[in-house]
Amino acid sequence: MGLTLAQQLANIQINLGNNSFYTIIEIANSIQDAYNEIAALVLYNVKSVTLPWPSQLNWFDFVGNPALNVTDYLGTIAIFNNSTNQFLRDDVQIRDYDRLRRDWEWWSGTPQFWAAHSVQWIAIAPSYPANTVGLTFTLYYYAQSPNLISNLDDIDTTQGFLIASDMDDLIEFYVTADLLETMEEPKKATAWWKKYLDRIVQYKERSHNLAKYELLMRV
Amino acid sequence: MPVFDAATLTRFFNQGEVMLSQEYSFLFDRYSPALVANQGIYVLPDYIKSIRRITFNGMKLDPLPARNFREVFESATQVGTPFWYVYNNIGTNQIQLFPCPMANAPAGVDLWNEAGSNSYQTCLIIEHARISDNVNFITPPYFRRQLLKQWTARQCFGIEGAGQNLKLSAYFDGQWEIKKKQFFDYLDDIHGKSRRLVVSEIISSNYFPASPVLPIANYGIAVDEGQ
Repeated sequence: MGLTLAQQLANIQINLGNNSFYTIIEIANSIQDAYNEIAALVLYNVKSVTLPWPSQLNWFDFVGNPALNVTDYLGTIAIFNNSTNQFLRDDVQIRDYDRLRRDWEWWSGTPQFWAAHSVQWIAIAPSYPANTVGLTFTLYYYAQSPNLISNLDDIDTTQGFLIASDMDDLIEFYVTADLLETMEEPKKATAWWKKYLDRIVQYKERSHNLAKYELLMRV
Repeated sequence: MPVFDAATLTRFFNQGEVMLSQEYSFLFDRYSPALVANQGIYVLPDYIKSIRRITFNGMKLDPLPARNFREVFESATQVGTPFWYVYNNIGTNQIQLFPCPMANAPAGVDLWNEAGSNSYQTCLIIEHARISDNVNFITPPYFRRQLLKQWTARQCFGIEGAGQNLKLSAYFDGQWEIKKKQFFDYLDDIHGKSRRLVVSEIISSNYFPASPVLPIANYGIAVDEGQ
C-alpha cells in the first residue's frame, strides 16, 4: 500500500527538520511537480480512451481540441481503428507523409498512418471524408499524473499516488532536494537529487521492461 | 533568503522559456500570409524560428537555397503555381515563392483544419517552429514550473546586490542543464520518433518472436519488410 499525500507531507517535513520555512501549499506544489515529472520521465501511466473519428481531420491535438478533450494526454502509444479492427501503422515519420503524397492533407479515405509531430500534434493520414459519423478509434496513450491540488484551501491529504508503492520515495527525494535548494542549501540538496536520479532510472527501466526476464528466455 | 520582486521573477521565468524554445524546436505554429498576384517575396513574423513545411493549396513546396535559385533561374521572373520557396539571402525574415503566385489569395484561417473548413486547399500555409510567447505557446505544464525555476534561480542569484550568491547561481546553472536535457530527451522519445523506432531495440534483437513463415518449398522464402 502506497503512502498518502499526508504521509508524504509528514516525511518531507521531517527531512527538512520540521521547520516552518515552507507552508503545506508550497510543499504540496513541489510534490505535484515531482509527480508530474515522474509521469513524463517514467511513462508509468498508460491509459486508453475511445473517441469518435472526426471527419476531414489530419491534425490531432488531443488536449486542445474540444472534440477530443483528452486532458491528461502526454503522448500517443498506438491508435486502433474500431471500424476496421486494425491498428494504424506507426512506422513512418511525419516527413515520410510528404514522400507518400506531396498533397497528403487532401488524401481522403480510411486512416492508415499516424506519426508523432510535436508536443501538441500528431498527424493521421488519410482522413475520413466529410460527414463520416458513427466511427470510433481507441487511443492508447501515456497519461500525466493526476492533479493533487484542485483547491488551494482544501487539499485532500488522504489521496494516494498512482506510482508503484515501493517507488513512493521518489517523491520524497525529489521534494526534499527541491526545497533544500530553494533554502539555499545546494550541497544538502545534491545528495537527495542523486538518490532521486538513481531511483528514477530504475523505475523507468522497470516500467518499460516489465517482461524482461521472459523475453530474455527467448535468446 | 533574498527577496526578488515578482516582476523580476516573471522576467527571468519568461526569459528561460524563450531560451528553451530557441535552443530546441518544440513549439509549432502555422502562419498564412495573404498572397498578392505577381508578388514573390513575403515577410515572415520574427517569432518564426525554423520553417518546417510550406504548402500552397495543400501541395508541398520545396525549399531552394538562394544560390541554387540564382544558378538555375538567373533573373527569371515566372508567374504560375509556386513550386519552390527561396528561404535565405533575400532579406531578413523573407521568403520568395517561385514561380510567383498568379492571383491574389486571402490568408487562411483554421490552419490545422480543426473546424473542417479545408481552407488549406486555397491558401499558403507556413508551418514552423516558433519562439515562445509565454502565453499561448509555452512549455508543457508538467515540465514548466520545475524546469524554468532553475533558470529563474540562476539569474536571480546572479543579480548585483544583497541577494547575490554566485555559487548558488552556478549550482542552478548546472541544474538547468540537467533538467533541460531530461526535457529534450523526453521530447525526442515521445514526440519526435515514430513508435517503430522507439521499440526498435526489441524487434531487432534475437528475443523478439519471429514472424510466421509459410513452407518454403511451396511459397518461396520469407523476406523482411522493405527488402
